[in-house]
This record gives sequence, structure tokens and C-alpha cells, in this order.
Amino acid sequence: MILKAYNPPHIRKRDSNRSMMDDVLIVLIALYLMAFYYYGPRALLLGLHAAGVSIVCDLVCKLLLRQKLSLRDHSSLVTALLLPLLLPASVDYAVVAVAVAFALVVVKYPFGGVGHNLFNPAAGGFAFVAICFPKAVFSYPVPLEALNAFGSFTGRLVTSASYTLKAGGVPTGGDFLSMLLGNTPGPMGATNVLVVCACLLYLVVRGSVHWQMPLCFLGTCALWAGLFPRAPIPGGASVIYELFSGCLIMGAVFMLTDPVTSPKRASACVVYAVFAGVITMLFRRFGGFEESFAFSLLLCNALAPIFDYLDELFYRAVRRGRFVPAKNKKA
Amino acid sequence: MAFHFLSKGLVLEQHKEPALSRDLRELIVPGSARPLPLPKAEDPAALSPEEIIAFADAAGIIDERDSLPLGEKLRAARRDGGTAMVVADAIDDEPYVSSQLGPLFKLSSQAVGGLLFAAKAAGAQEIMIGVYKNVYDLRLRIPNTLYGVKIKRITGKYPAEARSSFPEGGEGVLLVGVCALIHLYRAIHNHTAQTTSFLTVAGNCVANPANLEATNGLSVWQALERCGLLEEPARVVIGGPMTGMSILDPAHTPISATTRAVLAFLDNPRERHYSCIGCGKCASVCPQELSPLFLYKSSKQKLVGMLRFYDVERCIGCGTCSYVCPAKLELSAEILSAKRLVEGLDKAQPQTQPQEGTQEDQNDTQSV
Repeated sequence: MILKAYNPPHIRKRDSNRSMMDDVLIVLIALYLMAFYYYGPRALLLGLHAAGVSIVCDLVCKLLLRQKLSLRDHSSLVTALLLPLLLPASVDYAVVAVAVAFALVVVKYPFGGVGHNLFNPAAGGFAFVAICFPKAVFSYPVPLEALNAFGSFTGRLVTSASYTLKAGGVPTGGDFLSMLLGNTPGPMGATNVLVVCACLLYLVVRGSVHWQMPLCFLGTCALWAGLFPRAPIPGGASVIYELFSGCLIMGAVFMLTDPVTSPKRASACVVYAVFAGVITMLFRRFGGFEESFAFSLLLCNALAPIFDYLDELFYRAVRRGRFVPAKNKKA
Repeated sequence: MAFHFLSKGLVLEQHKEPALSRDLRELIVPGSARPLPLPKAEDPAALSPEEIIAFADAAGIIDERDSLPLGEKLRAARRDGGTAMVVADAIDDEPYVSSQLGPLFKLSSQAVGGLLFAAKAAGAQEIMIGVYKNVYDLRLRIPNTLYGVKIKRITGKYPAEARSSFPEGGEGVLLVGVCALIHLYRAIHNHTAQTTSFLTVAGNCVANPANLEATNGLSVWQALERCGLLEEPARVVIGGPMTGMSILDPAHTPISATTRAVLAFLDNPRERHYSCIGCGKCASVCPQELSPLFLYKSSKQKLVGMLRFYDVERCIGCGTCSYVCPAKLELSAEILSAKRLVEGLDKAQPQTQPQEGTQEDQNDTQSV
């Protein structure tokens, strides 16, 4: 009999990093199916294209870092599949490739790869292409109009509700129901508000994300939008337009909750989410781009360790208030 | 206070069946019973506290709960002017382990008899039996009283037993393991010393999981053979699955009075190690409100100042963080070794420590 030495505990929970990533992949596939319904096969091809680029980048970066080559880790795949959903379905294949490559080669791997990146790779990739190709990123095809599957998009492009809001106008076209179902021009995956909310529910039930974060973030955004509407519309309408336009809900569910770049404890996450909500709404009002969630998220990512540090100070006080000093303690 | 404990920790699948509902098995070497070097007690009910303690000493009873001699514990309780309450500890909050619950219900008269003796020796007015509440898969119903003694259901999540005090008492409560109480009863009524101990033999490659009464000094391997193995185990553990020690040579590892369980597990080939993604699950379950992920990183980088900042000395080694970790990191083992390191440093230079600690904290914060 050959016995091996193990550290306790001798039983482990079945969840692993891989199962957490796979949970996100499962819900992303649901979003791709919605995008397929609205924009045809081009949506799926964009996703496959992004996945292919991510696998190549992953292997190259692992070679350079002299890590073991394997495709067991799915976190790059999550980043890659997330990016096309933040972009319009009409976007060029090259733009998607640039976004994915930037996210992995510049934002993720130079810091040490999985678990060590300072900034959310998807947000970094989106920010990069938003600066480099604003025309391609911020003009959208009309849902349910046929798109050519290959090559550059040649059809009609329109602006989204977030552009109108940015310009200070009142968004027209698209009632509440069609906004909820995603039947409005906008990013390929982010407009399907109802499906994204279902995704959040799944992730929360599976324990893959802190539920506090998206809720507090969206709550803060809604409060801000209700109090300070950008357009001459009543507060309630402003809340709906602000939340349902752009990548706000999508980002709150998939990018803000990224475990690597957000604070670690639920209490810190709440404060962080409220902070991120205020920053995002300020960016929307005073920033230069119509969709500025990615930029504000990058700023918040940089500050996340400070939230962790303050939270640890709070918990040090909690620990000290709760216990009688241990008998063997010298100090 | 108790509220925090309720919110943190783990609800574990208990796996106590079928070992718990089966009869106690015996693995006793014939002729190993040893009489006491004391005159027999003619009327056990009339024994004085000092005489009961003398019986406990002569029988060499070790409390399986904290591996202290029972006589010493009772004497200390008496010296402090008597305790308010003696609690028979049958908490058994770790999965698989039922070596206190089993004997409590199979040998209830002996357990309660021992509890009465212990209460008399410690000068306690009240007695109680403590049983863990979060056990759902039991076939046997836990009654509210046992021979008129109240059974208190201990609420809360997994590290229920590791807590320093009984939830309602704190001071003035003496916790004594059920097996030690049974041995005390036997010492007084049967006039025998403690030569056996109760242990659970279980795990996913044990054929007939059961609670065993085994003679001390027999090997762990004999206990496993008594219950049968389905396959070659990859790990054999002494103690509970959360805190127990994995051993390499079961044939030469003896069963002692503090062996509460022997578990044999198959290897899990699917278990792989990943890198920490900072999900914070460890921090959300830690019953001591620590941040295991930061402790782990500080320990890997040998940042002693950071370890102090994150209160490494408060770790109780319950293993909840390693259990939930999706990256399958050895959090608990790493933090415990860091704790020993820091405690060793504290012993070496107790004076300069606080100053240095705060200085290092500020420098190290940047690097994490």
C-alpha cells in the first residue's frame, strides 16, 4: 500500500477555479444565442473568432512566461467571449482581434497571468479599441436586419440611446419592453437586459459572484440618474434610459464582479461598488465617450487594494472587540 | 457575539451514517482489562469528590476532547471553587466522526452515570449534554433529555467544537468528553482502568463504517481491517477530516486515548491546483474573521510584519479556508506554519516586537 502525506482538511468542496469560469462561460453562451437571434450568424462568428485569437494569445504568452502549456484555464476564454458582446455586431473582425490581443498580451499576462492582473482585461481591451476605433465601436446596426456574416459590414448604422443621452437629448424609438428584451441598437450582448439579469441570478445562485456588488453598483447608478438626469426628462425615465443604455448592466454583472480585480470581502465590495457607481456616472456626464463604464472600471480597479486595506483595518477592530485577548499572547 | 459565529463557518455534509446507527463493535485484546490499585468502592453513590478524583487518577483516564488527564481537570475545577456546570461533550462537529455521539446513545447509562460523578467531583450544580445541531442525515432521533439530563443542541456552523467557550456559559463551565465519562463510570463501578478508546472507522474506502471500542496500543491498520477495506486507500487519517493528520505507516501507528477517528480515503485524481484568483470565499467563511488569502500571500513571501498585521496568531487551524478554496490551495497548512514562525519570533525577542511590527506594516502594505 502506498500512502501519500496530505495536509488537512482531507475533504474539499467540489467547486474549483475552472467550475467558476465555466459558470460564466455557460451564461455567456446564452447571451450569444440572443445575439444570434437579433444579428444572425455574424454574432456567433465574432465570438468564435475572439475565442480563437484568445487561445493563440494564451499559448504565446505562456510560452514567453515559460509556464506549462495547457488550455485548462478558461479565464482567457471568458475575457475573449465577453469582448464581442460589448461591441456592436457590425464591428470588424480585426477590431475584435485587436481588443482580445490587447486584453491578454498587455493587460493580463505582463502582470503574471491568472490571478495577478491589476486591471480587468475585458475593460482594458474595450477601452483600447474605443480610443483607437471610436467609429467602429460606437455605431450600431439595427436589430433583426440581416448582416453579412463575413468581411466588413456594409449596411445601415445608427447611434444608440447612450449617444443621445451624451449629447443631452431625449432618446427616442424603443419603448420599455423592447429595451428590456434588447430590441434596440446597441452593443451586441449588453442590450439584452432581461437575459443579463437572468445570468446574474444564475451566477449568484452558483456562488460565483458576490451579489452585493452588482446590486449596490446599479442601485447607486439608478439613484444618481434619478436625482441628476442628463436630459430634460423625469427622474424615472432617466433611471431606465441610463441603466438600459450602453454596457452598464452587462459590465456590472460580468466585469465589476471579476474576482481578481475587485476587493475580496463582501463588506469591502459594497463600498467599492457604490464608489464605482458614482465614478461611472461622473464619467458618463463629464467624460469624452458615450460609453465610459470601462474607463471608470479601470480607475476603480487601481483603487481596489485600498478598499481591501481599509476593510482589513475594520476587521482588525472587529476581531479585537469580539475576543478577550488570548491567554498566551505576550503583547 | 454568538451572532457572528452563526454567520461564519461551514455547513458540511455529515456522513455520520451508517457508523452512528450501527452497534458499537469491539476490538479488544482478551485479558487486557486492568484492575485499579485502589480498594473497590462499596457504595459508589457515597463517594466523596476527592475519592472520585482518586479513581480518575488511578484509572489513568485521558479526556479525548483536549488530551488532558481527567483527574487534573476535575482537580483544577475544584481548586477554583467549583464550577457552575459540567457539560458532557458529544459535539462531534466534523463529518464522519461520531465517536462521542455513538457511545453516548449506545452506552447512555454509563455516560450519564459518569457525568453525575464528574459533576459531584467538580462541585457543579448543573449538568448538561452538548450535541451539535447541524446534523441532518441521522437515522436516530436525538431526544431532548437522556435519563433526565438536558441535551443542549449546539447551533452554528462547522468549527463549533473549536470555540473556546460553551456558548451560554463562558466562565464556570467544564467540558468533559463523553468517552472519558464512560471510562470514569467503569473505573468506579467495574473497577477497571482505561485500556480502550472509542473511535470511528469510516471514509470512502471503508467497507463497514462503524464505531469501534479498541484496546489502546493496537495499530490503526488493525482497526481498519476490523471494518474492512473496499480498496487500497491513498490516505489514512487519524482524527477528523477537517483537522486530522494523514499518516504514512498505519501498521506501526498505535491507537491512543485521543484517537477519535481513523479515516481511509481514496485518492481524488481530479483534484488540481490553480493560482489564487482572489474570490474571497476563504475570508467569507473564516470563523475568526481573518483574511486567509492575504495571510497565505504574506506567508509565501515571508513578510512577518504583514502576517502580524493580518493577525496570524488568531488562526485556530480549523481548515474551513482550505475546504472552500476553489484554487485548492493549502491555505490552512501554510497559515499554521506561518503562525508557528511568528510565535517563535515573539518568544525570541518579546520587547522589540510591537515597534518593529508597525514599521514593517507600513512598508509592506505597498508590496501586496
